[in-house]
Amino acid sequence: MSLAIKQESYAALSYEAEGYLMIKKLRIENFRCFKSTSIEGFRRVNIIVGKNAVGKTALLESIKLGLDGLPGTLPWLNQIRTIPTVNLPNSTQEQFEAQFLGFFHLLESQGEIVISIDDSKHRTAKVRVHFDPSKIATMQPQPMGFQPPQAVPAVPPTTIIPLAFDRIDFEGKKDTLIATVLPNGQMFLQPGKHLGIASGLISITYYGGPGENAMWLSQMSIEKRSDEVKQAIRKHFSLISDVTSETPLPGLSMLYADIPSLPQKIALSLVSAGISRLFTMILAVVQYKRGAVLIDEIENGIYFEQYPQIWETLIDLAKHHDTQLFISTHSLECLRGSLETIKANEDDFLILRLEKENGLPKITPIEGKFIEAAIEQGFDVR
Amino acid sequence: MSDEYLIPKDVRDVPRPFLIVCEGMSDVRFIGSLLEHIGITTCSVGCPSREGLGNSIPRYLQGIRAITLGKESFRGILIIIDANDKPTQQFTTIQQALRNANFPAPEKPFSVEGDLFRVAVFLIPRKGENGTLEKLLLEAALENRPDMQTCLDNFCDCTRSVKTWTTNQQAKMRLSALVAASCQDNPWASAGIMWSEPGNPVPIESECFNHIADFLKIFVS
Repeated sequence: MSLAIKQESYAALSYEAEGYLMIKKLRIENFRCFKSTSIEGFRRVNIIVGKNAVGKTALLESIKLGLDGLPGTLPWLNQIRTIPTVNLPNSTQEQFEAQFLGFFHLLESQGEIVISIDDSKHRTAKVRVHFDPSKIATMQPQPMGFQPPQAVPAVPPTTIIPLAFDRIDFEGKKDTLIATVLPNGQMFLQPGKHLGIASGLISITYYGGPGENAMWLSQMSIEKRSDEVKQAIRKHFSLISDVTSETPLPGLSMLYADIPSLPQKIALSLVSAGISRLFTMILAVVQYKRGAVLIDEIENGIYFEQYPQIWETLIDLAKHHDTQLFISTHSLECLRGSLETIKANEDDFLILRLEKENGLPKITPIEGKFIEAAIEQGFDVR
Repeated sequence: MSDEYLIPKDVRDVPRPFLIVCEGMSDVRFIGSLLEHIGITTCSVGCPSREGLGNSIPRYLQGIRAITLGKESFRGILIIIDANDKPTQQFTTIQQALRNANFPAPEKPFSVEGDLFRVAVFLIPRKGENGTLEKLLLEAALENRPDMQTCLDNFCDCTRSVKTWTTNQQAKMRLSALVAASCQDNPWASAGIMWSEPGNPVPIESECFNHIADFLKIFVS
């Protein structure tokens, strides 16, 4: 049985942070390519650069996991990497663990992933992920995951050793959530709240489901704050006079674009995948106010002439909404497009340059004034 | 001179262990020619971009800092600038620029400082003397062709106005005139490109450059 993760509900759990809590420090142990890494001094906009397979996406994922601390995050991260979550009835321990193996450094699932994050108030949230035999006995099948409350499925208790998420949130509260698989093959992902800072991840393949984006825009519209995102998209693409959330069929909400030359509105994704992705970024920065937005390969699908304006739009919105950005890019053009925005916001920028050294990622932080100077001199800081 | 010493555009790293930073392309070409002449192969040479607003050594050093952060193969910076008429001020400006770029800064000019990472500042023409690169190049050219001294003096007299110029301005004018008159294939040749021109009047092997060559050897040793 495959698990279709309901991202709408997942997102709905994730943006309830109150008060601006900027991430200042990140420690990663045994996650993907990171054996043991610590990064500090994050700014409002953190740009992650480096060659392929040095860990840029993994770094974004580690932040997402570190902020959520949720069992649902891992299958979702697999999903956006186009790795399906497949569990068969009566799955073996090996089959269950295989779903999560890629998250463990060197694929060693007997180890433990630890991610801790310090916020700007010097508080620390931490999640420790490990297979925990002691949790088998406590496991009871319940209607969990992202489903609304339903009748308890009639399945016997599992003997699978669950993946435990030992969590400490930014308030110091401790709990443990688990992921396991039931004998009928249904994935069991214990729900919970994020650890205190809401976050959204926009990947290359995932930039919001149609329903999620439409829901965000509807919420903003209800709160009379959708104008700024609409203005932002009009500033970039003058052919679009408006973007609205519509429900063309019962249960199907989508974003539609109003293009004056056309007789009726059309789905935004039909206008351009790049515009659709950019709109998601803009929505996310507003939606995750006082939280963090993680964008993988920002340049994807966007024409190079848009880069300077995109940086300006994102930083303006991020400052207005106290959103912290973590953005990866491969594009030198895109990076150079940030020059004017960096000049105006020098202290808000940090580049994290990832390289492989002795097979492990090495992360070098570069401050805004140095990035600015390097771009001016025509150097390549990627 | 080949451009193998020159830091290329779009560079992601300083290609060689040591970097020599100059003020402009004339200085870069001279230092590159000298390095080639004395057989030093461990130095890259660069100068601030003339495009945009970042055409200053302080900004250049910050850019270099950005691309060399965390790279242990990068082992030192030597900055070679004109003393002009204010060598002390020139040195303190560079000292501050190094600090602003988070590089160590030497305590005094003409001194190679630092162990794991070396820094030095060399003021042209030489210790205890004001002037510019052109003054030094002119010295070398006139050492090779002393008879040209009187010709240049006469030319300056004929122009009437040049004699009122500063020493540094006069040195630049005299060198330009000499280079133009020596490079038949390209009378537009400047101090920046004369090294590859037939007829170049400045011999790179001149003893006038020995003090710089010696300093370069100490810096990379």
